[in-house]
Amino acid sequence: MDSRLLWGTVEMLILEVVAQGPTYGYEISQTVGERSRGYFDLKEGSLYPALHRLEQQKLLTSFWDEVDGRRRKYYKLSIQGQTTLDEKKAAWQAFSKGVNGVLGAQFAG
Amino acid sequence: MIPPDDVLADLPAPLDDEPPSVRQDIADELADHLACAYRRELLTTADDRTAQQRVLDRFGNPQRIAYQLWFQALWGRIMLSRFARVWQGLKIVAGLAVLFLVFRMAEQQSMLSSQLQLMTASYNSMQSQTMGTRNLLEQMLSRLPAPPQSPDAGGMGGNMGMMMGAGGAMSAGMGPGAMSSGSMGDAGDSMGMAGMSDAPSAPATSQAGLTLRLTMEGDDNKPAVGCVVAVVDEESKVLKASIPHVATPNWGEMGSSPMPSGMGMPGGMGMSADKMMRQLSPPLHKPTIGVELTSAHQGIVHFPSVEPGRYKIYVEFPDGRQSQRLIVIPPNSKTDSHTEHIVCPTSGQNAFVVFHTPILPQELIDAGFSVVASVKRKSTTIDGSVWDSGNNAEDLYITFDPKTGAPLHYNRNSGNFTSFANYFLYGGQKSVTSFEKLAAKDRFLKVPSGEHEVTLVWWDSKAQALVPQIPPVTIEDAGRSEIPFGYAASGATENDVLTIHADTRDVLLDLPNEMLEAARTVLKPAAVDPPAVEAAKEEAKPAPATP
Repeated sequence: MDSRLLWGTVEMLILEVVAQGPTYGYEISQTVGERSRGYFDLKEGSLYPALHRLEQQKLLTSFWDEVDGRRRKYYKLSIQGQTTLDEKKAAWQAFSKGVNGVLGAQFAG
Repeated sequence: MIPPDDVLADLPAPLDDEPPSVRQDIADELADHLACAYRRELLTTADDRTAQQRVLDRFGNPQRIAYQLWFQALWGRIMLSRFARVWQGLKIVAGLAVLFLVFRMAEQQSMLSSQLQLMTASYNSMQSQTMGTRNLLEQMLSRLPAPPQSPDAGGMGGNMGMMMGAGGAMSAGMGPGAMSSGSMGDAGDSMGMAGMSDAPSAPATSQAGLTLRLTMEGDDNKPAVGCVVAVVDEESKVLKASIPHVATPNWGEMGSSPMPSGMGMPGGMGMSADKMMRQLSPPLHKPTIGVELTSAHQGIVHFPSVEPGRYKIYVEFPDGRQSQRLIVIPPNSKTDSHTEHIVCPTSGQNAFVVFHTPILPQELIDAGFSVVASVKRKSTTIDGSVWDSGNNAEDLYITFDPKTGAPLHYNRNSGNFTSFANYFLYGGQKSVTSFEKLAAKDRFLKVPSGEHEVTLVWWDSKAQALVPQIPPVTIEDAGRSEIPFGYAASGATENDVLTIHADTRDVLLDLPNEMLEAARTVLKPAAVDPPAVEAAKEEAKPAPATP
């Protein structure tokens, strides 16, 4: 896919995945890949700068846990993150509806 | 899989204020992800190296991601640190700039100071050189020999001649051949100019400079200040000095005296004191302008171009002391500069003196006799130059009216009479004087301390008919339009020396017997009783008689 389209929506996708419950970086990347059926084929390492940026924006909070002898960082959605996610989803749905409407009418015509 | 330390391999050295958990958190998070991905890959391939390579292919460069996260976590601190470093650098640069400016200012100030010191040293050097040159010039001037005696100068003993004072009989018309040995009169002892009348004027062959050096009497040769100096040639032409400070001296005031020709006399007597004094002291030569010496002259006046010939040097001080010197600039002089050194007398302190009326016998008083006293500073001779007040207006002319005992002081400068009794008698009538309107300096008799010549003249009202009347004289300060004064014939005169000290207050002019005898002669056939005069003197002596 076009990376310019992806980076405009990746933060919304991350927030949506984290909104399901506390999770960590690897699981987020796997969830996004599974749900998009491999459409968002992005570098897994590029996910972490986005996670840290959302954390600095107070949209995500984090905590550490130990799994299999390793420290693992879990992220969960903050209230502010939930609000932002709702706004982004509404905007996206409106945008998608508009785009689909135009594209559907064209196809219908 | 990749150890956590290898993930952090590209990170820079820890910052000073870097939290210690940042690096470890980044390494643990990325290592957990890589471990999970490695386990996933091992499910699809048994090859360890292939699994690792697939993890890295899907993840990207772990070191670059770690650096990106580290920078993102510490961006604020890094920026603040960089800003602090820049700020520190700016402060250092600013400090260095300030230090540089201060150094430059100090350097320039040092340069200015050194230049000022150099200028001061140069000025002092110039000043010392000037003083040295001046001293050298003065020494040279003092050592210069007298100008060579001109063969045309005849028997003139020296290049100068002095004439002043009563009996200094050089006539106003003195010129080449006009001065006779007889005209030198009593001043011959200081002139040495016998035979000068035979000396013709030398033709002008070249011009020389004339330098006058005037110093005050004393050991320190202090330069004269305040006097007026003029050099006049035989045609009464005043030479132009190189420093033309123009002043108007009082020389020759006698020739155009503002003194009324008919001096006011009680009883309306005839001949004026002015005329009488003119006989005693002939008019002097009369320069019109001169050089007024200030401290800037240092007592030196230079006349740049002087043709050979005879010249008169006039010197006068504001207090009336004046002197004349005759010099000869010989023709074909080998020296290009002629120098005259004139030593001026110091001035004494003024004293305010009361002149008491002389004692006259009653018959002389009844006959209308009165006495006029001329008090004139006695001439002194310094270094061959005769100094006196000449015909200066500061001389005192005091008329004593025996009937009232009030002396009248005539001021030649103002043309006013001052009576200490506030009135004087004219024609037997009391006339109010202008005492109140006179300036303070004219109300009192101010006499310089020192020796004075006193000339006493008696006046006889009976002689009034012997001389013609003169036009009336106006005294403006009297508040009256015209006050006529009559002539009187002069009687005997007597010269005496009156010594005025600074603390002298009272002076009684004692009339000599010879004067009284002369008055009796005029009164003939009336007789005057000498014992009666002596008795009157003893009876009325008010103060110590100084003269």
